[in-house]
Amino acid sequence: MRNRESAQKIDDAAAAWAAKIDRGLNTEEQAELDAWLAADKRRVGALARGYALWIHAGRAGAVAVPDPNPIEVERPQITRRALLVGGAAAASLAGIGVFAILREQPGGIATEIGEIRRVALLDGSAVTLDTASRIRVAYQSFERRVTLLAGQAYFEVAEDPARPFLVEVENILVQSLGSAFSISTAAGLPISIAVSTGRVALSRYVNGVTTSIARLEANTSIDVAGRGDVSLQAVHTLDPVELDRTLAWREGKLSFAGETLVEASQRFARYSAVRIVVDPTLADERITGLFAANDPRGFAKAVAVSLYARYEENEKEIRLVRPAVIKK
Amino acid sequence: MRGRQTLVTIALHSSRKVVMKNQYDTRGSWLAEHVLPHEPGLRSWLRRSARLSEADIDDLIQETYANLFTRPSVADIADPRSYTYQVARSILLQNLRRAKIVTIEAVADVSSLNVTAAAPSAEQLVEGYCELQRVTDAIEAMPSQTRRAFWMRRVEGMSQRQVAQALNLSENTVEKHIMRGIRLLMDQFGRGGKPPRQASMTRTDNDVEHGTQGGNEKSRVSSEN
Repeated sequence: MRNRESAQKIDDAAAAWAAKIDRGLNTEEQAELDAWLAADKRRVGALARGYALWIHAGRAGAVAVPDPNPIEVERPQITRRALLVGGAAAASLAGIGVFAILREQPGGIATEIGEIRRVALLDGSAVTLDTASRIRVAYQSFERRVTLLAGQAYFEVAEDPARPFLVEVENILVQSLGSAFSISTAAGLPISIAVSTGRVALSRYVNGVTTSIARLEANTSIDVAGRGDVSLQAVHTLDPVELDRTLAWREGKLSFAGETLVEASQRFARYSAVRIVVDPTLADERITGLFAANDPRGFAKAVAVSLYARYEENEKEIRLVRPAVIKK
Repeated sequence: MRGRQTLVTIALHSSRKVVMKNQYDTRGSWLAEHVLPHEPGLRSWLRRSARLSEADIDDLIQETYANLFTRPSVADIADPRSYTYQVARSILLQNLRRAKIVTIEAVADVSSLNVTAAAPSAEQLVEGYCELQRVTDAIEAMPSQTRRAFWMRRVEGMSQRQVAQALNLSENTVEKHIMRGIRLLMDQFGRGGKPPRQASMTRTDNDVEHGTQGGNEKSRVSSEN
């Protein structure tokens, strides 16, 4: 039964034919294709499927744009050289800027744990990436699209009415209307959007349909559930102090106003490998204050002092323990 | 007389060419929209309910697409998802009946396979989005030069010739990159969201590489005829 051509082999040939159909077949090739198809019905199916995927891929590009390397299209000669050399050898000063952007493209622009970085984009806009964050930039003639893949980012947008600036996170699209705003995404938490100047329009993409869901003015924020969920929480108005707090991470600071100790420890965990382990009896203590994000020890010591807790440390973690003698 | 016949043949061929391309674009577009999003679900249904091997599933999927592609019209298909499942199920039954060694239980099992029981779940309603994401991920995972050529042709709408000029490659090489990109999509899309099997990926890469370098998948194909 199984001495016939494998589905994998058929797929190989089908992919080749799909690429040829895409560029156009000559009469001879057409006859060859007809003969190939006539020999096994599965070949017809494999080619139909391959071509359908080819069409589908174009649609994917319209929704979530991966790595179009816009610079490369504009300046093929420089890019070509950078690609050929492929490494540090392309060290002419003129090449470095382009090269840096190119290198960043495949996985997007990313920050390491503990790193906070402000990056200028090609159009004069700027993005600040929080710790362990990643974006993908896709600029085209008709739009500027950035996908937030992980973490948190703050966008300062250079307006260009002819080319809308869109930030995509999961299935939420945020369009800037002359604005600066931050977006954060984290597993298990809603997507959080805060606007500091201008306005943004929010829409949601489900099953090929984009639906407008809200408009946010400056000094407001919203939490939106991501993929699949259509629930929408209320818009919060932020006073200037709250807004500063929300955006404090851009200066490498963590600002708390009544978060629990566990929540605060989790925020610190995003900025370094050091973990703060909290005694369950201390978990719900409320924390207020402004702390350096890269200094979990300093934070834990301050907490220990104010909560009468004991501070312990080893290579792996910091522990906050309630001493047995002091009962609350 | 003879001369006239030749003329007719040429005319047929050239109109055929247009028809062919149209069929791939129009029916391909319908398949992309209405069938591809359900393929991962169909595969896992076949795996679970009909207990088919991956190789048998691959065969069956190809036959299902063949049926849908050669169908004179798809305008009358109101529910493409359940129609696709029915097509797969009836091909499976046919194949089982035709096979020399087949137990009556196997046929009975498949006959009772409930197509409607595979109704879309809540998650599948956002499947369309996830499918696009899956394709996007597959494009991202392509080797860089392949991804570049694929992207310029497919998303930016440049012709293969224009891509060749922009990347300073031969048109033949661009065609190979497109082929390779499509081949990777075919392989990655099918596995229903599971991480690609290591063995399969490696083998596929070699196959594609071989085709690219030899530039001669045609000879391989024709030798099998």
